Amino acid sequence: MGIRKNLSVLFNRLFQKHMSNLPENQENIVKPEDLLDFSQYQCIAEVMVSAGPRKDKETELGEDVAGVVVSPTYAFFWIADGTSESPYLRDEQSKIYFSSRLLAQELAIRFRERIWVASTEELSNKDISKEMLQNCLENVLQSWNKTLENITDESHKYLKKIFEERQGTSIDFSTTFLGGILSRSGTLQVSFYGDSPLFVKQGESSTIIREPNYRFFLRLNKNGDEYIFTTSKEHKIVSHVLENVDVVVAGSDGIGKLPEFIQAQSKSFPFREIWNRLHKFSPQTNDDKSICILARFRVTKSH
Amino acid sequence: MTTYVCTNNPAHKYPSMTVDGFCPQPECFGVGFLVEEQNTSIGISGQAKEIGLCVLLMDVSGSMKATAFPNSPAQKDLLVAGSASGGIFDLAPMTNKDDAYIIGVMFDHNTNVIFTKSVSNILGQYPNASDFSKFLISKFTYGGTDINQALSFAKQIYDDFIQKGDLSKYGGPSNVKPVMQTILTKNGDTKIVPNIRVLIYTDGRDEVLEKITGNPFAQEEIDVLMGAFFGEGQEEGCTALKSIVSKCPIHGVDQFFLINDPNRVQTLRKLFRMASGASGFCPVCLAQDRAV
Repeated sequence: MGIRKNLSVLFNRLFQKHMSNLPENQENIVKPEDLLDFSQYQCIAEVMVSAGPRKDKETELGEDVAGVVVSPTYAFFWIADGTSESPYLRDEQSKIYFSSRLLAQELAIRFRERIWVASTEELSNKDISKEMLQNCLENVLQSWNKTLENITDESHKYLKKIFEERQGTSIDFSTTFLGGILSRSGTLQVSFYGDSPLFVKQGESSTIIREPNYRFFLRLNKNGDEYIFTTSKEHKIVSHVLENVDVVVAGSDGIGKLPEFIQAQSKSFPFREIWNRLHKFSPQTNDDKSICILARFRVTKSH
Repeated sequence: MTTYVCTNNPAHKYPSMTVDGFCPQPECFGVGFLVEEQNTSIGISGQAKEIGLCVLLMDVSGSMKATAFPNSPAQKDLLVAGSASGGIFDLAPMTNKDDAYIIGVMFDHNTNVIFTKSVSNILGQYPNASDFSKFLISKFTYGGTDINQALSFAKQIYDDFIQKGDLSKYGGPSNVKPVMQTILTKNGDTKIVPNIRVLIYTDGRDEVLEKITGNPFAQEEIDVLMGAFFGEGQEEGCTALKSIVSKCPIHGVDQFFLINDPNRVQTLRKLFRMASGASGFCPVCLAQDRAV
């Protein structure tokens, strides 16, 4: 318990230092009274990743993105799965640099940045995960369009050549995204854009959520000598709010039946034991495989 | 008393849970885990396998013996068989070859399935594209032309796949369902499309009813029929085929390919590759298929 207490103090100091380094308008977002109380719950987070067989761009990171941020009061997690075997544009100076993998990465970056500026009041809003995701989608669209402003002649020639080769007037990039927020009190808010599966354990019961296979698209359009990104008329985001959540396992679709494996095991084993054997499960897919695990444990004296 | 069943092989049953929850049989290592026999909500056994499917409707009528282009000795049947086999063998680098199925249907005045195999099976059974091409040629029958019958037959396959998940009537697997693909349509709607494509090629016109009576796929939310015509492009049969195909949902152009020049033979091969991979709809999709 003594080591835990010291860790708690150290963590709080580091977090306060981080907060003091933020720009003025981002200060005091999390109040001291919200800081983690190790006498109640702690949240353990882990990300597990393995790559599927590499395709054309073997030296790049895979199409999956997985991340977690654990703050004193909330744990945030996200999974993005960029469409594989989709276009990859990169000119010599990398001024033009677009792919579905980068779209997945950029969405994750925006989500992470959005988390840092989220106030405690905002996070108590049950629709916040959807609002945050909507906000990220708009930001990414603006950001990618900004890269097309004032492009060099070389980049212009590169795009022209690409569109001539492809004999079309549009090129699509797409990704799924799953973003969630787990509060210290066990409230889970989660939004899905696509089919990344989610396993949730609530006390003795558990559920698996799989939403339809929609994707967030950015379409690069050529109109004469002008280029512009557009997106779907309507974003297919599905959100859920669940209470009393102890365990969250979010994954990319490459994890196959891993959620079912966890659910089947949950009837006979404590989650800690299941967690320790996740690596033995073989999903039998050719995709990248990413898992975010968040487990909310009540700390007892035996800890 | 609870009995536990392996998700990989339901014949493996146990009176109690194993120490790690996995089926202890060596072939099930890491794949098969135990579920309560009565709990079908968790049970994986028997769950449908997700596959992609291409139905190739191959015109094997007598006119296919003719040369394909003026001043070129190549016969249409040889070009088609070579392009189809070459296109399928081009899929060798594909990662999910086990799950990409092709049903080869030949039609003249009759319609018959000549093979139903996964891309992986074809690559394993035939040492090269040339041998597979010879196999295709050996099945050609060179009769009349009944395009309507061929299209109806393909629609039956489509329905059996989408509605029943059963291709056993055609020598394929049962308990399957389509992989779903998401597309952004030309007008900005997002649609989920089953990974099935039907490609018909012909060089003539329907000789039974003397017209194509309709496109049986046109009523589906996304029309998966693609047409290819071997000829100069002015023929009655070409106009008839082109008139029934839909516009590509992504690019808004006809799901139609004209092979009227020796230079287009490469297009035909790419078309077979794209259709066999159960993707794309139109010539723009074809140009974008691995173009970058």
